[in-house]
Amino acid sequence: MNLMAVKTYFKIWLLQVKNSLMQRMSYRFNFVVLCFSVLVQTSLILIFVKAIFSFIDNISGWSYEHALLIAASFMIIEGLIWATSAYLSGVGDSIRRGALDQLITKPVDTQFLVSIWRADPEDWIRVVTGIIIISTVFDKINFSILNLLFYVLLLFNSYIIVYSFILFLKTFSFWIINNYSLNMLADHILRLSQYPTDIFFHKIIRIFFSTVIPLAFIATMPAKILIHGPKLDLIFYSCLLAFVFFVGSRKFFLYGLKHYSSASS
Amino acid sequence: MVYKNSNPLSPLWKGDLANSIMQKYLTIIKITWQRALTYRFSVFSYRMGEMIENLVLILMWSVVYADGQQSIKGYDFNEMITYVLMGNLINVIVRNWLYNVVSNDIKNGTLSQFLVKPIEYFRYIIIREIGRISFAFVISVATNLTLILLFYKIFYFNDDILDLLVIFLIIVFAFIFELLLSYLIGLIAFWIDEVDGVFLTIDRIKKFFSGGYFPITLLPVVFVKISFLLPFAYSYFIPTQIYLKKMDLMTGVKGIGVQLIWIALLYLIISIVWRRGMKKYEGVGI
Repeated sequence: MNLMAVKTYFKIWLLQVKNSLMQRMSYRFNFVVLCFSVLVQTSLILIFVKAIFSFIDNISGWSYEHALLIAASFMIIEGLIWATSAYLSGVGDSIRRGALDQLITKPVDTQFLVSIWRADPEDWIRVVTGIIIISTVFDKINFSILNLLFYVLLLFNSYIIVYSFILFLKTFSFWIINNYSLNMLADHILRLSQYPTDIFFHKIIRIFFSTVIPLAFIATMPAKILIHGPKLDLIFYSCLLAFVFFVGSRKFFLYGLKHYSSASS
Repeated sequence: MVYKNSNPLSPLWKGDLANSIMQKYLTIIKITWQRALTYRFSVFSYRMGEMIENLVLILMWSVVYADGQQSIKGYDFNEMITYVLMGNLINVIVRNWLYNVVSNDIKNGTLSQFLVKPIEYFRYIIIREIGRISFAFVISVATNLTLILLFYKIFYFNDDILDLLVIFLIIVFAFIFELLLSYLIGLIAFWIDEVDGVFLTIDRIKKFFSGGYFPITLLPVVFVKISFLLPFAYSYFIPTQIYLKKMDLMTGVKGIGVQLIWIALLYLIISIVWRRGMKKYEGVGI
């Protein structure tokens, strides 16, 4: 893929972001209600963490401030997924309604188009809230610019892993069509990453949640890097997982695309 | 519909009428079961996600208690796990997704067909939803009972008939309340394009104030007072407290009174919102 192509894709993405924002803002009251909804959801996560730590000092070695970092990291990732691709709702919607026909025939990568099909701008509130929470606990962690840079790298990998996992699940829509339950399944599983994965004391479960469904690398590992500093093996493993998940999910999506039967033509 | 006896003065006519109405509603329920069975994978995958979430919650409490806590605000480990399992069982019995059906009917304009036919939309949609969720209900209850059996060694079994009777009544009224609340949220589609976000937020608030994350008594007093004023605690916290014998029956019976007041209030609000919504309804999509 050359530089011109990257520029083109970036322009298309920006255009879609602008369209999504215009679409949302055309119903202002609706948009305000959605923003309020997101704020309430993020507040409840914080209240939950505060309530748990009102009667304990730590969970599996994680203090209140450190647990907040995990929650904040999860908020940022969840916010980014919703704000940039609306949990890949475009995959299921376009298949179910037959709208994928229009996207397949365009001279742009289909996966890219369904990924940016819809964006929920109100979810940037989650990202901003997550960043604010992290900034409030800077004095409680071993903060350094290097830690922060590696933290951002791991968050980027987390985004890729979460995106790929959702894409993998949503690809089943080519066969099962009614994919509402897949949204819920993805949500239920990914939501577990807001807990410190050290609570999984059984070895097999830990391995499972570090490899097959790498919840540990979504929020817990980035938080660990920010608190304790970079660990090269974890950083390497995070990059490897992101690469494997992305390539695997893309291959599966393209395989699913071959099984697409149009509903409208 | 042709009645066997078409003479309204005949004493058999009312019986035939009742039978035909029942037949109509049973047909609706049968159709919704057939639809649910068409998408078996959806039901399975949804239940999988919920079971995983419940198991992780149990795991988290196990870790909290393993770190040296014998009792947290009067709950020992067995009671806390019983609270989680029993509460989830009650939660799957009372919940529904009626808001989704109602909001889609409004957004897609399919509500219009009910306005020109001699079918009352409210009654039809409630019956249809009961049919729709009954399949998921059976699966959910089965999987939750399986989960309880998995933890039978630490689960607290209550066989007090009086307790179970009061809990049963609370659950029935909680179910009715949840149905009406979901219907009301669906009606918001008359004014708002995106109802999912609103439902999700109300759902999270409900889960919080109902004690779905942890017993409400673990929270500061102000949250506890708010929870008891709201009806959500009856979908989780109060029945589980009665089950664990941490709340006396009289409080439970009083709670039923509170539920009835909320149900009446909700019905009134729905009537008002429906009338206002009808003025705004455009039937876009048909």
